[in-house]
Amino acid sequence: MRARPPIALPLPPGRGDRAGWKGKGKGKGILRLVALLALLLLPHTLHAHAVLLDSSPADGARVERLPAEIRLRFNEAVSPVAVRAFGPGGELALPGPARVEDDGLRIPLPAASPARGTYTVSYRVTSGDGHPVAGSLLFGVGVTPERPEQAEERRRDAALLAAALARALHYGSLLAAAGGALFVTLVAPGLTLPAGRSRMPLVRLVRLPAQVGIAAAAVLLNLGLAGVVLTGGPPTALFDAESWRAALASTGGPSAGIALAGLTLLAVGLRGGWRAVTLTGALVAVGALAATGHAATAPPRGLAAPLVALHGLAAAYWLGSLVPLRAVLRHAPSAESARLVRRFSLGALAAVAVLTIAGAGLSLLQITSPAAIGTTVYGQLWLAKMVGVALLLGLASVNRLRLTPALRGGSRSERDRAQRLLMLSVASEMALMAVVLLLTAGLGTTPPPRALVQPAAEAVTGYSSVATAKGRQAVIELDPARTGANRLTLHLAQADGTPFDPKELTVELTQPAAGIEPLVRKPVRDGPGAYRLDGLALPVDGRWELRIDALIDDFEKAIFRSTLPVDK
Amino acid sequence: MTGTTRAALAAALLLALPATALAHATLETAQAPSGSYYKAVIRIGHGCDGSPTTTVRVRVPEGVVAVKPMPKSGWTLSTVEGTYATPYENHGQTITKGVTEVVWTGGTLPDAWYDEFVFRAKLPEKAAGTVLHFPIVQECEKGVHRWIEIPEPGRSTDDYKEPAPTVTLTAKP
Repeated sequence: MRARPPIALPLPPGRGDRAGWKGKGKGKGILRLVALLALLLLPHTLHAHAVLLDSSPADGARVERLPAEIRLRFNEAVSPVAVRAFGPGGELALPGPARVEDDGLRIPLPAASPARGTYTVSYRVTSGDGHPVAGSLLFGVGVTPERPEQAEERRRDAALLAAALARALHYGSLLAAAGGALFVTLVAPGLTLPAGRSRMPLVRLVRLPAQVGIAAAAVLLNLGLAGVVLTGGPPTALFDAESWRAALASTGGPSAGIALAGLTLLAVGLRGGWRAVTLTGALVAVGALAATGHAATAPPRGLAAPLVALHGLAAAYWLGSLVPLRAVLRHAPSAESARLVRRFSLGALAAVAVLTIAGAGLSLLQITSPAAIGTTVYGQLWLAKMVGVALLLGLASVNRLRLTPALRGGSRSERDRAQRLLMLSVASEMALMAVVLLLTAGLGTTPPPRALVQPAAEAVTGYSSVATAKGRQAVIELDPARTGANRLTLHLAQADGTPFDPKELTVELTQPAAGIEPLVRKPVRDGPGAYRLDGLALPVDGRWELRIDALIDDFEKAIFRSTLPVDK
Repeated sequence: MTGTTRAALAAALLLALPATALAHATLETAQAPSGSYYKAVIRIGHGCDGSPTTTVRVRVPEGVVAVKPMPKSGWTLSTVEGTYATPYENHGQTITKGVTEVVWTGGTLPDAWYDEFVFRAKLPEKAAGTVLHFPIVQECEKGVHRWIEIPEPGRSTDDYKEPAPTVTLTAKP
């Protein structure tokens, strides 16, 4: 029996309350007769279930003020049996009984103190065939009733994307500035090129100081957005002091400091024409990459950090040379440009070797098993990057083996053709390089398989249990198992322990003691056999009955059941 | 009649009705002798939340053999064959495979109308009281009903929203 009776209704309770209903002594005999007659007569009639078509407010809706009444519309006439409503403070005392109007049910709500929060309406009605139809719906007043964490996740995803783009810009601009400095100091020191009527230093022609400025700005943008990701805020949190504090406290802080110091040295060196200072600045700036990120911090760190530095340096030489190289090809006399391209090409050979070897080493440290390439996001990004790198290497070998020698030999027209093709090839390399950089930045913001192998030990809160059905197992976790928003996590496994992904998965929650009828939800898939429901609002405490329907095939389903204790 | 009597009558109706579970997809004959030839009549009383029914599929339970579906005008009939877990003897022949699923598809049965889908099969020779479940999938233009729930121990079909129709075996006559 319920502690408090539901709204007074002209009809007695439905079959769920059969035990609770007692006929008056006098009418008992007649009743039994009528019941018997009804049983005999009824199988010849056919009716359909009543189905809830819609409601106002809709299930999961957010409204700004508590409406005066809730309307439930069914596909046929229904009679209310029990209707209850729960607010943020517990069950609501409804001001009157639920009324039936046409195919709808109107449930009046109390007008007093409509607090913000999540409201639950639980209903049990009978349809034309007397079959009870029950359900619950949730809506929020001034708040989004369910899955607030999903909305937060969307913002987090936006922040992650912004951070990845900023990181790509950071890598690209830093490598371009450092690599440009390497080119102007090592490949073509003191080079001036004819531009218009006068000659111009290469440094100024390719606007290297401006590139250094962009790189410095990108360092700051990348640092700020990394802080946003750390604090879990939306991209606009870039302007919050908290994000910057978090960023500075992480390894990103020192790395940004090193990068800015390197870029400053580089700029000073360029301005003063001091080659040693410029070169040192470039090396320091690239070295900053080895001070942060999971590539550089992979164990053994003594190996990973130098590999990152070498990988970055080689990438800087290659990437940073493209802009000056194009300028040389466009402006320098052909003999001069042939000499410089050959000079660059010699260094490029070493750079590609270092790049590939260091990259392979880093990949081995991060991707612990070949299977992870296909099954993890990190692995797929890595594969895409490898495709990009393979294309780049293809272009580079065409440049080196065909076009570079052609710049020197043959007729003038052949040389011109080689020069045009080389410029086109360099432009393609730049585009490919941008894609590879984006993918590299994606790798930098995606947890590598190495981190997935050993999940961090999380503090266990809430409630967990195991249910079995049809030889399958469901590990159920409810966090924090208190009234309000909860996260329900499910891990489904076959009898042999391998993950089990049903064709369809439905979760139904009821709280029989509080009279809450089924709340039906579809969990989202997290990974093989892993499912979750975020922001699952449980309006009252007590023992909630959980039923999980997992469709094995079209004709078979496994039903897992569990009781979840929910505290206040 | 007094108000109390009216209420009592209404109560009696309410109490009596749910047990019949008419809204489900059901089999017309819920009991049949063990080892007999059984005419299964699947009754479809409604669509999926108002949407018309377009496909009816039934999974034949293990032990039910010699399945012969009845064609139906306006519907395309097909069957799925499978291997039996336990082969059976028929006129001295060992039969290891047969129809495990019957599918009527391509029709349109509006939500407001009623129809029947028929097949004939031989029921297994098992103890009286044995319950056979015939899971049915009812596909509609929009949505699907899976009448496939088989009660867990300690529960009855009444505890489920979409129970699989059953046939209970009776003693051989």
